Amino acid sequence: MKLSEEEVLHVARLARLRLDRDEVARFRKELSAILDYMDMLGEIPDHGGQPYIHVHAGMNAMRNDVLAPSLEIGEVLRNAPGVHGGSFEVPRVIDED
Amino acid sequence: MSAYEAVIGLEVHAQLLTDSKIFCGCSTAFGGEPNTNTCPVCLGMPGVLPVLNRKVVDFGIRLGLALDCSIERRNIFARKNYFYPDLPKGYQITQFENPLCSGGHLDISVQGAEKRIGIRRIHMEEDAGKNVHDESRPRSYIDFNRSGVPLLEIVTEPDLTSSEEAVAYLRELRLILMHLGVSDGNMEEGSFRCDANISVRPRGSGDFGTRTELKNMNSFRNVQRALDYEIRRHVSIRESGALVVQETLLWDASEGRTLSMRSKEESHDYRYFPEPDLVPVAIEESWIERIRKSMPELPAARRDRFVRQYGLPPYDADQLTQTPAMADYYEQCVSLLDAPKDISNWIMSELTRVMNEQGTDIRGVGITPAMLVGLVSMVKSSRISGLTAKEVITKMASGGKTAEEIVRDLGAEQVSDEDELRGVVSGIIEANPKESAQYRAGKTQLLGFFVGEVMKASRGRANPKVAGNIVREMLKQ
Amino acid sequence: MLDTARRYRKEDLSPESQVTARLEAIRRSGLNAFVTVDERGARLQAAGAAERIAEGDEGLLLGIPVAVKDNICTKDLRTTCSSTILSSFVPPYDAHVIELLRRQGAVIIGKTNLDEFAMGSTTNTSAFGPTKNPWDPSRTPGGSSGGSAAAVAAGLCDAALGSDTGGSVRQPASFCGITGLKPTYGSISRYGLVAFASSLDQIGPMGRSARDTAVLFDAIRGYDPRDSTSSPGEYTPTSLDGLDLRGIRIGVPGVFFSEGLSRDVERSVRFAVSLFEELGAETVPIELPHIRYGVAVYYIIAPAEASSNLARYDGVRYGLRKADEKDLFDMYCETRAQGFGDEVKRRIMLGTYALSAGYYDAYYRKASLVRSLIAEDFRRAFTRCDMIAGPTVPVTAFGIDEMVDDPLSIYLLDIYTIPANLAGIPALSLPCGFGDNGMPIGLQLMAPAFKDNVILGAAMTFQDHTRFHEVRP
Ligand SMILES: [Mg+2]
Ligand SMILES: [Zn+2]
Repeated sequence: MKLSEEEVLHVARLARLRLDRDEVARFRKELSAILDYMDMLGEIPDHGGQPYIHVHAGMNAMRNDVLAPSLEIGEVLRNAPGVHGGSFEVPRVIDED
Repeated sequence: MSAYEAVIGLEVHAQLLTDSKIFCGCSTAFGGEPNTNTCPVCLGMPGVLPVLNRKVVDFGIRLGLALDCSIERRNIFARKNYFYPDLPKGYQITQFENPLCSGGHLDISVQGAEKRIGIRRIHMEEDAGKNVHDESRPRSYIDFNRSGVPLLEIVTEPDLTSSEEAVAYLRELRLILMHLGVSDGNMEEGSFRCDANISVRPRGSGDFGTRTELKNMNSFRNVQRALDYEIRRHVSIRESGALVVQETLLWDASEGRTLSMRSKEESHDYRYFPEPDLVPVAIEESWIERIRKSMPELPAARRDRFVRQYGLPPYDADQLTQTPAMADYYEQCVSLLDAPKDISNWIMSELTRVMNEQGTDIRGVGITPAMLVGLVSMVKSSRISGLTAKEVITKMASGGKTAEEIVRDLGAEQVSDEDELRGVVSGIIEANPKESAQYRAGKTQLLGFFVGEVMKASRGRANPKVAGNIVREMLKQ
Repeated sequence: MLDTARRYRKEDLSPESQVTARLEAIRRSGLNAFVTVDERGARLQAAGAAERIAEGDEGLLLGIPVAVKDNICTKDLRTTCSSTILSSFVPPYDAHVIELLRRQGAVIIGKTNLDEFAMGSTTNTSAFGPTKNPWDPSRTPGGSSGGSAAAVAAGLCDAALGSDTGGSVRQPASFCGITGLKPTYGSISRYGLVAFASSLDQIGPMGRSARDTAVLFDAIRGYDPRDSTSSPGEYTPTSLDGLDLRGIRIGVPGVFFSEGLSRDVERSVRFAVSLFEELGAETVPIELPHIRYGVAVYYIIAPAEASSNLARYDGVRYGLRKADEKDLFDMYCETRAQGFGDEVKRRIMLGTYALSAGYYDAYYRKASLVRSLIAEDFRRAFTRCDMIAGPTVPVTAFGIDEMVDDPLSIYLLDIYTIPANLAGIPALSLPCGFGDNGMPIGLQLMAPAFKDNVILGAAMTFQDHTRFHEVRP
């Protein structure tokens, strides 16, 4: 299989997903099969060009430096699962990166 | 001289003086109530999209030109992916490949020696929000007012070899940002933040040692202390034969040491990829030209001109160009009164004293250039004494009155009228027959005594120089 | 929908009674087409529309009950993306298209079911359970806009909005026997469309007929400064006269008729092409040599963008939060583990992997390079033809419980719809027959960028000569 169990766990960690043991095994199998299918892209050489992202070559869509109204604080916090005063509350942030 | 030399590269994040954020119309104002300057875009709500603030590009080009960079003609943005509660979208919109500016330089001078520091890149990006930690519970509170505030990240080549050079570079860069009107350079409010990469190597060797990254140095003094500490730490590790661990460290200013950042997470893998929600920004020559034409004078050029044009000592020129507002103030004064050195002295001593006492800066001090010049010219024409002038400037700062008005109110105008002073002097000679006789007999050191008496009798208003001449003349007879 | 608008003017139907009838039909349908029905809002909007009609307002959308896929944000109306993680999210803003619909007096009757975050082809991945196909409730309506397609087909609304990232409007349109357009990328603002894959997503109109679809398209397209990828071009109204097919060159790519295409689908699509010929069009064989890489390219780019777009669902500002009492890392991992379903996790994993250190060049970068070759294939093909015709999906609607175990085989069903998203060109599906099992079959038409009117016009003309779109389940 293309992916090792460790790789599946590493990716899950990067993506902040807790996987149980069955999920690790299943994703390993499924993702490996999908990645095998992707191998066909190896038939095409990398010509060194820019990645194709911007579909219709629009350019310079910008706004002027003008203020627009912000949200009411009630709307800001309306959907929040944890609130403290006017702030969002979360479990303690440990490192400072 | 140590057998090792340090290799330092600096990364500065400068907040830009735009009114609105980089990708939405929220205000960039500092210090509002938490989350009151936020909207669906800078809160990263589902389905909303960023739109680039044109002024951020203007400012980036302006700084790039000031640092002799080449300007990228086709800019794209990238997503830097990582999870952090103050990062609302789970990615930061930044530039990765082909930054807005690259290949520039900044000249610094340390103890008279000039050095050119290479600028590797300058790119545009958005700031994150702010975490506040609870002292009593294991909780943090997030404020997104700063989320989406525009930044320029300015990265040097690893050209710096000491903490002095690093601080000189940072001071000069900050001055440039302020003179360009691109950033307010306010370090307490986090408008100018600095990280460093450090390694040491045997002096003269070409290779690089293992680097550490140093964060959380929020003043020039802390940059100096932190770099000195970290350089010593590297050297002592290497001298002991051990290996420096590549890691990110925090400067603890109160303990005076660097601390390893605890992290139970994987080494960073930011998974950069081109931001599909923003289209490329093409920068035509005409755009660059427009910015070039509007470039203000840079601090180094202004310093040189102050020396040349006003005949100031380099120290004065340096002090007067610490902020653009100060330099502008000085030039307005000089345009009103052709006394460049006197004005410089007054600004650097008495005006600075008043500003420090009031805890304000040149814009808030309440003494206009015309007011200061009025005072200086009264001193120069001997209408008031230097001592009186110090009293007048203090009153000027609090009352908004001109020097003329204050002097009139005080009745403090200096007496230089010879007839009036002659009367005073003759009274003093009569009242002090013994001293008069001694003077006449050749004890001319007593001149000071007589002038002092004149000053006393006139309550300080007498012009001491004129008074001295009169004493000399009258005791000769 | 156009019928309804005409009847409002003849006063033999009122918006209020039409809305009441649609609400009643939704209640009775048993299709699970809607996640949220906004009965109160719909009645209020209907009353407002009735007033405007009485004042002589000619707007075609006035009082028309429109269903909206539940990944398009509606102010003060829950928008879930059919995901547990957003099951209670109430947006404080309307999507651009919703603002436009409201302004034109359309009635937003409710929010339709979809595959979670639009990732899927069946609605099976919805946290609210699958929608049923009105033609046969044991079968899937397709997806991800399956709720919208089923609602239109079953008469639960007059028209609907879907979104199409790799075929999510066209495939369910095909499975449910309706007309659905994936417009040119950039012609409809994505502001307020919850992002799945930003460089591929487009909102699309869905209707009973090509004319209904065209009217809805005209109502929601146009430049929006809040979407930097929105095209500031001129937008002229789409003609409802149909397209004169004489002299029109229709490209027929051999690759669209190769292995994997079921016989009944092929038969109906070839019939449709021959009808175009009868109406004066000329067919030309064309080559699209890189189409065979489409699925591989798509299933790298879309998950890569998705892995980033879905990072914001972290339990901090809105949506589900789990393990709040633990540390931050556990809160993230648990919230996302419980908030997302299997398919979403699978794609987040795939996309995270494709962007991760050491794999970016082989996967993401390579895929975007091949994407440009696919776009180039179309550019070249469109020098020889005015539009391209082929099947929308290789098969007809399958059973809801079929094909649940093998993600790759489901992905491969997107083979005909994915290329238009990769190239940013408009593509449309319209009914052109019924399969051996009695289920509808879709014909796909594609045109060069910003030529949406060409395929809409061709579809109108086709429907002027056929009755497939009028057959009801
Ligand atoms: Mg940065
Ligand atoms: Zn904002």
